[in-house]
Amino acid sequence: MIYQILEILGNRHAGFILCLIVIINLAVGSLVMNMNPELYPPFFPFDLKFFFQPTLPVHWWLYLLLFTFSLFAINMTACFVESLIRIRDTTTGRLRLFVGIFIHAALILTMAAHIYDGFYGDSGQATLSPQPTSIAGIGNVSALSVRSTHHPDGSLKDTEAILKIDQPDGHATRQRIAYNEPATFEGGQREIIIQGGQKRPAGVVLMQKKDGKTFEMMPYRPQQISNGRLTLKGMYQSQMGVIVAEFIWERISEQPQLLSMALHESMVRHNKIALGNETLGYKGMLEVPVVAVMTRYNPAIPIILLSLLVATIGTVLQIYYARIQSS
Amino acid sequence: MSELESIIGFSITAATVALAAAILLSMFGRRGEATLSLILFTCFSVVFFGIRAYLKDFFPFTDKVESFMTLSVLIALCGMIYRNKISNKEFITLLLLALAAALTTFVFTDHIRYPTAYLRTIWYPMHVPLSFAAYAFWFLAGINAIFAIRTLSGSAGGIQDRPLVTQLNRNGFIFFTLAMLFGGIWGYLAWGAYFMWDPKILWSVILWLYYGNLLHIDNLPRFRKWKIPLYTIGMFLIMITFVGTGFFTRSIHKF
Repeated sequence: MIYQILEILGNRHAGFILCLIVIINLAVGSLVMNMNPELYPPFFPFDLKFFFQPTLPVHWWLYLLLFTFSLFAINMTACFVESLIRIRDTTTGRLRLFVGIFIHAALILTMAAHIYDGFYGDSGQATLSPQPTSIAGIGNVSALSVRSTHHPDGSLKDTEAILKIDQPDGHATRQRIAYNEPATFEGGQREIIIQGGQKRPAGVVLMQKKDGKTFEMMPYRPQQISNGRLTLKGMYQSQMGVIVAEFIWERISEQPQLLSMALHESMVRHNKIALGNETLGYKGMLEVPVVAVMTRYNPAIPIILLSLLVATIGTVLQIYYARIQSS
Repeated sequence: MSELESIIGFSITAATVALAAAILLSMFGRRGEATLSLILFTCFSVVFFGIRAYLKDFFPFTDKVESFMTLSVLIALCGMIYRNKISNKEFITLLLLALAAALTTFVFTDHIRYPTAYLRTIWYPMHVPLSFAAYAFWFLAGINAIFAIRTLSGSAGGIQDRPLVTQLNRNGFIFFTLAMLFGGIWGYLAWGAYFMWDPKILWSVILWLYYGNLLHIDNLPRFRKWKIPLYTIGMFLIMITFVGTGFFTRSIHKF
């Protein structure tokens, strides 16, 4: 009785047709996505929630795909179970059956993992700096350093960053990330993936001309100088590409003054400011690492790892089977 | 640099000429000379890839010129491997396909650029050539199927089984499965996802399912008559996956 049910559900002719329907469905989906670029971002992971928040008529192909894929999965699972029963009773052609069992098992596992990840996975963006940033499931993450290497033509070769991770249990670690080398957590279920990084100006080092004394200035941390108060208001990049610092100079009974300083050693006429009888010159820039990352949570990674193992075994068996067939 | 670029230009032209010569020689039944021509084609291609690898400081499969040339070489190699199992007409047709791929490289302006940071991983050279090798096997299966169309109504059951088609598909399927596995690992490391709603990835899944499904057709008596037409259609699906998604969609795999 059970065998008969399995034979009906796992009918190979029906499976063949269902697979073709799934293929047509995927092809139509690809066309629909390509024709609606404003609706479908060009680069987004397997996020099934996207298609349900909100549900839209234009996503019909995806809803249909879930249905056709479900039928296909039922057929394949029944076929898989039937093959398992058959392999017990047969003495010849076992290798071919094993190949089928492993490859189909990998496909079923992958489909299950996709559904699981699609509905329960998550992804986000974050910009990491020396100030800790809280990332769900990982902890407080801060960037300690960032370094980019370039090709001789100036194009980017790689960017690597060192991150400090303070986990909720109080455990602190340091991890290096680079392109194609993410930081992974919880057995690979959580990832921090680099998307770019650079050193960004954070403050400026100034030198007093009369005695050569240097001091650091950070934004909105005023300092008492020459009977007045100097505040670094901010920094911006000019149209010429030069970074300019803006200061506010305040003295009692005088209007506050806005002063600009070019942060470049060779611009000797513009890289200093006069504050009464005191002149301050540019000495150096304080930089902090800033790293753009993508965070990813995929709870289906254990299933995918299992699927990878099963697919690898299936492929190795298939290579062996192909060799036998060709000889 | 410019001298090496000149050698690249010469090697790709010489390789294409050698390939065209192999086709002509095969047409006149000069099998030995055709094989020699194909060996020359392979040698010039090795020079082409070798210099580009040196200039790029990486595996030379990262732009459209290299992609089409890789496909051309793999198709020709596939033809050489199966030379004794296919007819001369099938062999010539396959080489014409390889020539078309090689000639396509002349359409593009060839700027040798360093690969982007994302491409600099061992998973990339393991992913791309394997998928192209699968295309080569599947193209040969398709050509074998095209030449079987005229036998569709001739044989006893209306069908010839063409075991070579299945064998070629199996080889292609193995290569493509490995390419998908390596590509998936790369995707996880680079973008945090082994699958994305990207046209190239979607069509790769379509190809894998399609040819995986076709592996079953020999065991499905009612559908066996569709074997030859479906393998022929498969060639168009490969073209869509390789050329269509690479040039006419908003794919991250866009050339």
